[in-house]
Amino acid sequence: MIGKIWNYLSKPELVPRLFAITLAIVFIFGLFWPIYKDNNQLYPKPEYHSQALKTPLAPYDRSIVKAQYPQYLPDLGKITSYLTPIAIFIKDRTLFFGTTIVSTPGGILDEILYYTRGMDTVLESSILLVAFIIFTWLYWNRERD
Amino acid sequence: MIDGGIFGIVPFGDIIFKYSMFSTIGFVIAITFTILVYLTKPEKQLEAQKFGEDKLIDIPLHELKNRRYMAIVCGIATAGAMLTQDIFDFALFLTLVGIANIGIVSAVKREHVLNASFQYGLTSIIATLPLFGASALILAKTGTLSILELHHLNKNLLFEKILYGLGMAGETGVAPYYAAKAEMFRAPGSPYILMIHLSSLLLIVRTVEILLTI
Amino acid sequence: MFYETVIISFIVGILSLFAIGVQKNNLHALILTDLLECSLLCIIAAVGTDLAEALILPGLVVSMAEILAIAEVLVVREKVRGKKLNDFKINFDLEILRTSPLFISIILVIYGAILSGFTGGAVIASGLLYYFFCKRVLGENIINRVKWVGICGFSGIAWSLWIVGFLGFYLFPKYWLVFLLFAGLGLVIKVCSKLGLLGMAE
Repeated sequence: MIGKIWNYLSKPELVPRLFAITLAIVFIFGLFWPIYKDNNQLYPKPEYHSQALKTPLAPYDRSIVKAQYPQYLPDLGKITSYLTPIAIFIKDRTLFFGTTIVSTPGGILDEILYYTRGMDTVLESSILLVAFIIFTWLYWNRERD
Repeated sequence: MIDGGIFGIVPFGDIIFKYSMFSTIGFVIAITFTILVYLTKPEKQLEAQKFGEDKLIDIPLHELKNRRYMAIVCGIATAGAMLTQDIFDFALFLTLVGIANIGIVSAVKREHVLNASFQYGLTSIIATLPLFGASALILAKTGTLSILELHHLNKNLLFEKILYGLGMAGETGVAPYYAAKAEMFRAPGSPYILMIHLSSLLLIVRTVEILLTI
Repeated sequence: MFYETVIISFIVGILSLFAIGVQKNNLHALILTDLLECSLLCIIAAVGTDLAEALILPGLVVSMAEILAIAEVLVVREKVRGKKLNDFKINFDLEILRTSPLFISIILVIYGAILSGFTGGAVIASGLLYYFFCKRVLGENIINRVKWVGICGFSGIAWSLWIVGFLGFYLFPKYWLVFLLFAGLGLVIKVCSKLGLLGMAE
């Protein structure tokens, strides 16, 4: 009996399916688990619509960036405030600059991505690189034996 | 903290790399094996034939290069995962190890190997849901991602921990199973496959340490 | 709102996990994993801080990268099995496919260069994708190994530029502006060249 089960389990096709079903059962338990959000968060957002029509950078105008370890970040806040000349040109003419996708090398998102949590993005791009190497290698060796 | 004394930290902003007793040992092991993998020559394989002479299978250089590169990426990612003190960053390291493992397994053009590689890839994609989902839930519940900070907070994170552990299991924990399924020990270019086992082992130990700490 | 969002994405996750567990077709399983990624992104987005907004990008890219690699593994496996793959051949002969691609792609590349940053890279990439797709539908052979390796190398150099920018922030905090421009430039080229390559592949 047990031998039969082991043999059944030895098919590689079965593992993703079993894994998916196990996860689904765990998530069903999760529906009854207390899930809540603490109000003391890092990098908080301001109130919704509190900046609209007051500043051209809305909704990304931050005076203070609340990072985890500010003592290790000598340039905190500088990257957020950097705007390219084109961005300054647009900012002077409209109040809706923050909602356009004219991103700049600066900006609140880019400060988190480049600087305070830059390691995440380094890894993320490395993952894309490795995936691309696998793809390229398989693609060019499809015909070869 | 169960990881012994601290030797020093390398801060990259919010993400801190810490050299403690435990993590330094893991780091040194991972780096040593990466160098070994870089230096070793792959084995040639004698395949027994049903009829006629046994034949010696040689590995073409292009296949070797690709697999060696993937093994080195896997080793470096394992070494990094030993040091990082941030759960989201650790999840990304796990994913990098997972995709490098897929790269090692998928470089052989045989049907059963490619099948095992595909199924492993499917498992690792499924595993990103609990891994990153648990990180996001921990972030929401505690307001931080740093393990050093989470250590001081006393919150009940049982469900999130279970999810995180399951995510690790799917991402790298099942890798040796698929490596064995692909019969890669016998397949040409064996030494690279040992990197899969080593990284899986080290990452399981490290995940247990993280889950006990937070 | 946090609780409701998380519960709904849990339900989406549970349903798609069961779907993956039940079905037999490998290709369907691969497509269903995309649904899982949606529920993953919803859970991260539910946190609703700037940090969560920044964490979305790694989550998205990771899932995209894995699906890219696994899909190619599946294709090669089917080839090795000796199955004939359906060739994607459409014979349209619309005039717009011959006249528009150059114009639209140049406009999109210039627009993307103005936007800069990640979005700029994506806009440039969409211009390149449109150009390559049009050429492919017309049946022109655009795949060339030398060109491919060249763009790959270019993308790799951009990637290392971005890593240098990141390290520079910590090693030389005084010159943050230089490294910021390094990182921004690296990101644009990296994103657009990688997505452009995808357009060239079959």
